[in-house]
Amino acid sequence: MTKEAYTDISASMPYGVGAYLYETLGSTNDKARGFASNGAEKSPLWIITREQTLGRGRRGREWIGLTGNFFASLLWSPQISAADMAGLPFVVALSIREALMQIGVPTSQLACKWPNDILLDGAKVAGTLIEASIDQNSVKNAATDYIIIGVGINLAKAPKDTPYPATSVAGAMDIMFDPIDFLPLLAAQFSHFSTLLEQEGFAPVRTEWLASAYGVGQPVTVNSEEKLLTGTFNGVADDGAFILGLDGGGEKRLYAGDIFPQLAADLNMQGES
Amino acid sequence: MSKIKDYKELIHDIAELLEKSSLTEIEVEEDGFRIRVARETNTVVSHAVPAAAPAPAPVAAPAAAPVAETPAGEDLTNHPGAVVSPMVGTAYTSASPDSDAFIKVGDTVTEGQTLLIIEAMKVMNNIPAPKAGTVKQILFSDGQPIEFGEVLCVIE
Repeated sequence: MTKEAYTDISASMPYGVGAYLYETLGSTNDKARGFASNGAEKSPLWIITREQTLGRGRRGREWIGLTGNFFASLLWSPQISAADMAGLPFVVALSIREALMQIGVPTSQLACKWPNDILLDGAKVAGTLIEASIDQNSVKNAATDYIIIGVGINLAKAPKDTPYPATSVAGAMDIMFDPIDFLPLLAAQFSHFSTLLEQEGFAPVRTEWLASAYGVGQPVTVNSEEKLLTGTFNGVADDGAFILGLDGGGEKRLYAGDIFPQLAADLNMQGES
Repeated sequence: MSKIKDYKELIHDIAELLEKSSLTEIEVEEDGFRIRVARETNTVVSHAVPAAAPAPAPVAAPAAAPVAETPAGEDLTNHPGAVVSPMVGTAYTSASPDSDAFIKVGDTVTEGQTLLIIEAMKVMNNIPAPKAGTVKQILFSDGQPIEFGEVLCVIE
């Protein structure tokens, strides 16, 4: 098998969802983009690889490809309004959480951290990178041509020396699960939550997300736009914003930032969510 | 004539002061005579709704041309080549901090070519060129907060 050869595993996927399995790839997001720009495949198509050599996270940060972990990307053309696009990170997070529950991770040990992180025993177990390509004929309306959702899950091993606490499903739970078998579970959950977003908007997604959110009503420190803000996590606004209750009274909506439950003095500020 | 020359010098001085300071406008009033020199800033640091674009300088007094040192202040919103932001978010000039900028002034771009990334709610949005042309102006910088409807660049 050559490096670029793939196996069509669509038969194991939910109806209407495609999936190609690679043995090794640089980046599943890049491969998905290749399919999108060729115009051959638009959606929904999952690209999964057993080995990823050039994985990356937000702003080009390296996502280490440890053997046995889950590396996949979804290529998708959503039928959602520009406003409801804000719900997408929450949809991805909920899908990962539900799929992890299906393989035996107890609900009580999983939490969603705004906006798209999944924590297992308080440590990072998954990472996502969502890239949207805006339609060149409709830039003003932010009409989306296609979206690529990259998902990395530490099923087998957690990377060391991360600037944030990291864990793995195998390490924390003693559950071993093949990443290729995990894909249909995740894809089915994603189909469920993305359909909810497409048909009913962000409101029901937000309700589900808040039910498993980390630290609602608790003191929190946020690193937003290079400023440290402290207050109380008062929930999520209808546009997806993090609502920070300010210590001096009033509220502030945040659209970017890393959330920390601890006090600022204890933080490693290189944290990434 | 000499008076107009005085105005020009005054405007020039104020413009220079504006350039060196972090101010966005300076207004001087004396004996019922008023001069205001303003510029459009590209370094908005809050997510507040932007006010209408500042009026081109100078307001009041004689119709002296704005000085060359302050080319900004020009309202590009209705410029036919203006690419405006479809969303609120953070602008990134390149795919990662180590890679080259997607575009620079003078570049020729093709339709659909990525101009910048705007991050909104952790979604990295690739903003494409709506048409082919030459990049005349770039009005965003790396990491800058972007407002809805803000002019990002001009392509002609």
